Amino acid sequence: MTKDSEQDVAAAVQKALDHIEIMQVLYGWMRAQDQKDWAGLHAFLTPESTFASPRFGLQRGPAQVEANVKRALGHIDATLHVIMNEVVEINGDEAKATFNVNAHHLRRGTAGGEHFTNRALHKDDLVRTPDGWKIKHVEAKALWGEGNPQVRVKADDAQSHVKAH
Amino acid sequence: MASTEQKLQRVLDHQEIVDVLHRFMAAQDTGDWDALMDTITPDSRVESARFGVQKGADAVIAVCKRALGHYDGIIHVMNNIRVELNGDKALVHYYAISYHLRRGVEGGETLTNRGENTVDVVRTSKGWKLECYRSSKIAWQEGNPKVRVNKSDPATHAG
Repeated sequence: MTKDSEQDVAAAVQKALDHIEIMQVLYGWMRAQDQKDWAGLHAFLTPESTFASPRFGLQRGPAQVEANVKRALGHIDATLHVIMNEVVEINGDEAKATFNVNAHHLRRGTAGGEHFTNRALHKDDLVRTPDGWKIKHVEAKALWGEGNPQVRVKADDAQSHVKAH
Repeated sequence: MASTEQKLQRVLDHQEIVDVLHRFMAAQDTGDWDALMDTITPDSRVESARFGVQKGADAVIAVCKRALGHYDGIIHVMNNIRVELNGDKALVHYYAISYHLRRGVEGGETLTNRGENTVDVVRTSKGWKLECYRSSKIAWQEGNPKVRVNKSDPATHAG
C-alpha cells in the first residue's frame, strides 16, 4: 500500500468513527433527557452551547439548557426522543447533524388522552474537543404534534401552553 | 492516540453489535427460532418484567415463543442504539417501538409498546452475541392492551 492510499484509508476510518461517535453523543443526550438525568446533560454540551427551543426560545450555556429541558420534561411521566434519518456532515473538527425526532410523551391521567408525539427536525452543530465530540448548538424546529397537546402543558407555566408548530 | 487499526476495530465492533441486535429483533418478528439461537450465547438470559429471569438459550427461545407466539404480526423497530464498548463486552441501550397485531380482538386489533431495552453483548469466536436482555423501567403501551393477552398464560395479563 502506498503512503497516499494509507492516508486515504486512515481518513476513511476516521470519518466512519467520527460518524459513530457523533451519533452516540446525540443518543446519549436524548437518553439523559428521557432518564431525567438533568446533571448528566452537561457531559454532552460545550461550555458555550446554545439551544434554540421552539417553545422556550434561545438558551445559552449548559445551566440554562438544563433548566430549559427540565422545564419542558420534568412534569411528564415518561418520554422517548427517537432519532431517525440522520445525516452527518463532518468538516474537520466541526459537524452538522440533521435528523428527525419523534418525541413520544406519556402523562398519566391527562384529561383527553395520556399520549402526545411531537415530530421535529433538528439541525444541530457539534465540535470535536479533547474529551470527544460535544454539542455546540441545538436547532430544533417543531413540525407537528399528534395526540393530546395537553400532555405537555404545565398548569403554572404559561409558556408551556404555546403551540410550537 | 489510537492507531488506524484500533479505530477500524472500534468501527467494526460497533457495526457488528448493531447487526446482531437487528438480527435478534428480525428473528423474533419472523418467528425464525434457529436464527434467534444464532444471535445469543449458550448461557444467555432474559430479565423480563412479565416473565421473570430465564437462563440458558433454550429458556430464552421458550420465553420469546411464549411472549410472541400468539400474534398475527409483530414489528420491533430499534432506534438510538447506544453502545458502550469495553473490550470483549459491551452494554447497549436502545429504544424499541414494538407494533403488535392480533386480528379479531375485541376493542381493537393493534397495540404499540414504547420503551428502552438494555442488553449485554459479548465477543465470541463466532462474532458478537447477546448474553443478557433486560426490559427497562421506561415503557408504556398505546392501543388495546388485550392484544397481547394470551388467555391460557396468566403472565401475559400483567401490565
